[in-house]
Amino acid sequence: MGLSLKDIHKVYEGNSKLAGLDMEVEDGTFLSIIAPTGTGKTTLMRIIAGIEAPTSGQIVVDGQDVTGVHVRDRNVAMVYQQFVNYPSLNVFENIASPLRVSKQKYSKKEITERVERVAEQLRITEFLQRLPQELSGGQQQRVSIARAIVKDARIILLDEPLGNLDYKLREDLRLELKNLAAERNAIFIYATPEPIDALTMANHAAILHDGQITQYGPVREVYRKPNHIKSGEYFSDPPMNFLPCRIENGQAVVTPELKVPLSAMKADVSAGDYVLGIRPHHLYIRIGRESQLDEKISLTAELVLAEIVGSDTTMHLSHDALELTALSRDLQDRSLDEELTVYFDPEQFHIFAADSGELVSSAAAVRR
Amino acid sequence: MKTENQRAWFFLIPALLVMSINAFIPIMTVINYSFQDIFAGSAIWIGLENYVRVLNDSEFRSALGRQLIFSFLILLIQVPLGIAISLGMPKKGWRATVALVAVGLPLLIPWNVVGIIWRVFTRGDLGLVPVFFNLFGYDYNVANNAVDAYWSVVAMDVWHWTPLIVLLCYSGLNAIPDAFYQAAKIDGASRWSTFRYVTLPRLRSVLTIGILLRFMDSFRIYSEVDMLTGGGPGTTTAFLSDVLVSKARANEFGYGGALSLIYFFIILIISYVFFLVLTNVGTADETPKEA
Amino acid sequence: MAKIELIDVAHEYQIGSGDYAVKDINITWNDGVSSALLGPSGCGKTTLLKIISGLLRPSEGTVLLDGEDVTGLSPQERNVAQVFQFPVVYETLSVFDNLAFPLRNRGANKQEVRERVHEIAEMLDLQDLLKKGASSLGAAEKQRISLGRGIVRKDTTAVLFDEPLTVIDPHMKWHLRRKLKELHARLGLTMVYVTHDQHEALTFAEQVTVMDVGEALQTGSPRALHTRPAAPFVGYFIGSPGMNLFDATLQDDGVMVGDLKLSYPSETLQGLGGKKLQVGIRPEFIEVRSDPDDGAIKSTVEAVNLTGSSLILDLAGKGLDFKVRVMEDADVNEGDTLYATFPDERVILYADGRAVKSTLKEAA
Repeated sequence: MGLSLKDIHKVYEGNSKLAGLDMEVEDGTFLSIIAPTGTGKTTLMRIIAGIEAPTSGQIVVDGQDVTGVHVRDRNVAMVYQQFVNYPSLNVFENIASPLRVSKQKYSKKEITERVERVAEQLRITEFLQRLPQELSGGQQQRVSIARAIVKDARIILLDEPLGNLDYKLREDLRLELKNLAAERNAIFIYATPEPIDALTMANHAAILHDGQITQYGPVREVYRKPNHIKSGEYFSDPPMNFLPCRIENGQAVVTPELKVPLSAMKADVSAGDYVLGIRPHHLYIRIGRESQLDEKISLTAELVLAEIVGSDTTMHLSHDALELTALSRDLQDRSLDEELTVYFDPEQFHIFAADSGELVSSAAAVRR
Repeated sequence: MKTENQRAWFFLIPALLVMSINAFIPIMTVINYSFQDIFAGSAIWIGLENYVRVLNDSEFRSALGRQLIFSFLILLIQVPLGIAISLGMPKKGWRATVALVAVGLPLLIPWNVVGIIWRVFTRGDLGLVPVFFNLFGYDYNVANNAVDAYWSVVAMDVWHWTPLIVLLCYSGLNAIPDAFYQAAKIDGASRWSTFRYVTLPRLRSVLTIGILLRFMDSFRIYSEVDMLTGGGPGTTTAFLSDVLVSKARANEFGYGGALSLIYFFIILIISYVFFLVLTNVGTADETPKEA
Repeated sequence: MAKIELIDVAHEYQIGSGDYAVKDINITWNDGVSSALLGPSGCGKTTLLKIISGLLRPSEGTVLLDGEDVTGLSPQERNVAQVFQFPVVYETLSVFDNLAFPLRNRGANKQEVRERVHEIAEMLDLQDLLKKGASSLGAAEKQRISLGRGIVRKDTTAVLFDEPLTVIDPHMKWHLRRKLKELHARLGLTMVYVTHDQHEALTFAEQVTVMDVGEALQTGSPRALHTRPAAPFVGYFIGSPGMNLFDATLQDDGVMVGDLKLSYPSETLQGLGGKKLQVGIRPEFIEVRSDPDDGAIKSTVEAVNLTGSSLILDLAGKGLDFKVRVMEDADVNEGDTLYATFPDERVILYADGRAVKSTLKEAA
């Protein structure tokens, strides 16, 4: 049982948006589809919902082919980035609307019960009699989410629903959504360009690239073992550093100063040109308690900008033509253009093929 | 693959039906007539002869000239006046509602009734206009004096239609975010500069609509003029529609048909030119005063 | 350049209504400081910005610019520039003419205009675009033009920003942030930046004021706000995740939070009777070990959340639920037992929403 997409193609006026997409999603999955804006996430969501038909391919839900079925006959719900609520109906009526128009008849009592239950879960009970425009952005989005989950849809689609909200509100709502999903057996599919959404809420992640799902699996696995440069690029915030290197004599040579020795795990990589991928938090600006760092495995670089994000500092650095991003897990006070030494963690980088971008050798597994 | 809702098409059937009766069939008929010489019940195909006759007709030409000047005058007066009035209108509160209603009233009146109102207004024995002019010693006579008649028609149209520009600009003005005016103030711009560089560019889209609508409607003006002056005195206020109607009344369907089509194409071409100019003026690479 | 001071500033929506947009505002911005007003939507930061710029006259209080009372003056009289949320450019003019606009309005001569426009264009990487029509450019470039117009006049006293990066593509944002910092370093202008995003505020500003519900809760450096939040809201709003906050009850020699006792000297506890007490500590300051430790809080891991560079653990122990931040590759699973310590210097005691001063230790 679950959702199955087989060989989905979608072509718009000669442009191929989805090119042979396959995906299997099981019951109880909270899936996050990760890709930058404009690459086809919304198209995919609309096709799963039934608002649009694929140019070719099949959609199977719980063993039944629903490819041509109109969205009104599918048991799906969708939440958008722009909080879409009926402006002339109060919150109660908004949430009740899917129940009122559904083919399945609900009694008045049932409707009231369901609406109140869902409103309580989303902490909007006090607003039930108000109109959407009287509410703040975050509250309106909660109403949209309530509307989506009130009828126990089989598949709940969320298209970047937190994009228009303040960051603190986003933090709060992510946890709420995670809890909401845990109580239900529906399939949640959440499209987002932000890795943190996937990491916080989802149990599975899918990378959408060039109209196909290039990687699918449990979140931690996709995060820690990107099978392609694109997986590493999309599923990383701040973005993963990609440095062209040459592998020879058991070393990855990035620049004449920076030669990273290949540990036993990577010894079987043949010589040649590759791309070294390393996450910003595995670049350190000082050797503190990190015993695996070596003074010699480092680069000097100029600080272009230090950004404080939450409780961390993201540093944009440049070394000649190379651009690096390092993440320091504290608050750094640095001057523009300051020169820093950047230490590379020799066990925590991936090696990708230079031509295809595919993973050749991945970083070390979780360390104690 | 029937994912799309086919039901929407059914909603169009009544509209399509009505339109075919009111529009398609008559238009086809007119086009048909224009190629024929219709006389006492019989019709002979004469090709483009009617068109040639129309274009060579001095009555047509002088009416066209009159019409062009009239439409041009209308735009020249109504657009700046409309903008000016909309700038002066209150933006919110009960005053705004009162202003909007007052301004909008002329638009609600049926067009021939407008003509009748102004006919009474300008009548030698009853009207206020002659009384007004007599105060200044001017002998106003809409029936016999060509100048009086012409400008009365212009005044009537201004009274009738300027509110359209006003309302369009009013909504356009409300769409301009305050930030732009604040920025202009901070930049030290004078009121005229602010108008020229902030207000006017941002009114472009509504003004385009307003100008196109006013051009097209003024070019086809008929009922009001007919009621007020009947085209006179003489042919002073006989615009293009007047010629068309008189031909139709004289049962000259062939000529009338050809005239209709020529009329249509003139409006189409001039409107298109307006449209191109209005949507392109002031955008993109302008050479600056200095670099 | 200017020193800006707000003294007892407050603004009521309608005089006598009691409904204040901002109140009890007392803030000083020294000449040349880069600063931010940070807070959630509706906290009053935009109102405060308008009061500083002169677009709004506060119903109470005084605004001083270099010691002079400018409360009643308009923005152009104060020579304050403002950059808005969406780019404001004169669409019918070229980039050059846009930048020249403020100068020409004040009667500068051709030579002055040309020199200054080129100078500003070079600072903002607009030199190659001077001849282009402003309407044809993208959002990031238009914002640079807006910014340029703000600083083109040499007598600009301060530049105010109202969430200027809102419409900029996320990938481009940090380039503009760098630009703003560069400009600040180069021109030494007093800059005030309004935003709801802590990332923007803490990256850009040397001095940040956190606001909520019309009040300025704390003004300080990013580090001060992070390590010594003077109000629970500041601790919550800054940092990801926000500070752990516990309700506390007063005892003779300390406070109780859950089943944990925190000792405090009697001078600290003086006068706290009858007040609502809370204790706060940030997740990143809590130390955890897997080896048993009698002095520590024995806790169970209820949840493990990966944020990319860290793991956030939900721990429960001694009647408390709290979050702790550890390295991303730490080997921790749900159900594990960990021993947590709250270092003294990281714990802050709050009474009625304000930090008890002596508990705000200097951060390491």
